Amino acid sequence: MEEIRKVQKRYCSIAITFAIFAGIIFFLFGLKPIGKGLILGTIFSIINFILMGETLPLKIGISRNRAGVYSFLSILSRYALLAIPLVLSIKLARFNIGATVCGLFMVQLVILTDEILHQFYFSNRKDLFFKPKKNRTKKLLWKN
Amino acid sequence: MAIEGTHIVQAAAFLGAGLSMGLGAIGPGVGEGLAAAKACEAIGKNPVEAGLLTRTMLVGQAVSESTGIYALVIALLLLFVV
Amino acid sequence: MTDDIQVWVKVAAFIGGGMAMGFGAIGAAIGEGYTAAKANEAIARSPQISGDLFKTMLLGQAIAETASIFALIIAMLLLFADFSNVSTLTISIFLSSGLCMGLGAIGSGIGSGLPTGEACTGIVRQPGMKNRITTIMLAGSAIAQSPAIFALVTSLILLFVDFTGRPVSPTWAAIIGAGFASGLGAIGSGIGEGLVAKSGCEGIARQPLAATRTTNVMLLGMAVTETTAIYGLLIACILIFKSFPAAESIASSMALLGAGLCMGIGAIGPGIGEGFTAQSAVKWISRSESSTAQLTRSMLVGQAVAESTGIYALVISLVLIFVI
Repeated sequence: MEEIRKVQKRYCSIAITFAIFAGIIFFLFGLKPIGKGLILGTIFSIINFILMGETLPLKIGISRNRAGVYSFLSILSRYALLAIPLVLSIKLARFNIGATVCGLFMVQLVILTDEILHQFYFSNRKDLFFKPKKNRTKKLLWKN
Repeated sequence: MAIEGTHIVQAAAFLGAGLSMGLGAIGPGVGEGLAAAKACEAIGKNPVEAGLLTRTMLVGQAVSESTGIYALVIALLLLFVV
Repeated sequence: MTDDIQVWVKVAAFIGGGMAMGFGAIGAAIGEGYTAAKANEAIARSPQISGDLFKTMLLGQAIAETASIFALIIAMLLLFADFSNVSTLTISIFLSSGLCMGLGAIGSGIGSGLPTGEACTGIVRQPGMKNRITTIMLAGSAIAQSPAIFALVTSLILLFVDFTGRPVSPTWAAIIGAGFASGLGAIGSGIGEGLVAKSGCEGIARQPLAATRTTNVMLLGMAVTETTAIYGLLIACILIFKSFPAAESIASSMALLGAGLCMGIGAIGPGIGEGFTAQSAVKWISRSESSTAQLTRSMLVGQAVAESTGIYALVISLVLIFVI
């Protein structure tokens, strides 16, 4: 559980910081609905990510049927939660729908960006048996 | 909008052509993939025989391709002959 | 009469939304179940690193659920759409858009669950490589989402392109056909890419020294497996953007519907088959270093031959669209 908390704290803080900064920039340019939508989507994305982590240990170490019921209920409740910002942004003109959708994937984007940056730029990890050579970094990035 | 008998026959032929080719592509696709997968496994175990194994793989794939070609022929018949 | 159309449009929107969410959740549920089963085994084998395993599971699940969140978005857009300005074509647009996204999310949901499960097994086997394995798992799951992204693009195009002025008679079939082509076409590629990413994770866990070449071949194999989904997207775009002349006979409508179904169903088999091929090639490249070149060549030849049935389906659907 300690590991999960650490991971969640890290990614959620990056995601919300980025969303607030981007939101402020959009506010300054006078695009209020986009900024608001982005922040709304990111907040619900983070809630979903935290709940996902909370329900994860429930699926381990119990019978298969009960695990199935637990994961079904977890998906149901989390998706009902994710539907709230979508409905809000469709119904209200205050939130931009596209920005809300982008916000919903903020945690996922942060996870992927973080991993890729770590893999190719800050490759001073202890577990890497051999570090990527300098001239190979570009080639790998190009392949991705 | 008068629906005539010939139109219905033609419509069924077109839909049938599409379904024939579509469904007919599932089996050969998976089968050829499996053949190639086994060939890769064999090459991994015995790299010396890579040429022979690739040739065998191609023969096996060509044979399993034949059902896909039957589906293609039937689809073309439905499109242009019926 | 307009009231009647509005009622039918609402029915279509609700059925479409239901299909999007229902089918979309199936894939995520299957993928998640596979991951949970593998993680259970892994935690039972070495409980002392359960923290790492939970972390991997969480990250993998966050990425794997992307496809079903796409489906949720389309379902919400359909349920809360603007019903004031509708025509007969709107019925088929709503049905097709829901169908496309729902079917398209199945493959990616299943596919991105596979590497996560394998990564859990791999971390137990090689705890020192856990960061590298997690990275490969995330990259694999993210690329396995791309068929679902194609389906999302098709659904959004269907919802937001202006179809006014098009004749109803063949266009309704073109719209439904586009949904089938892109939605069904994404299933095979999604599952196939998941298989490739799974064996990539396994290979790196077995042979840490072979990580770089395993990753490269994995990405190559996934790119080739992707092609059938691209054919589906291509046919869907042709069906949506080509304006067909009005035709009273039912035959031309059925030709367009048949074209969509042909490409959609025809892309499933080659997608899965190419996935099998690349899976095996990646697995054995990680184990035997000397045969990398031969294995890559055999993999590409095998995939090209397995692709041929997909190309037949593409040809038949192009004939159905342009010649008939």
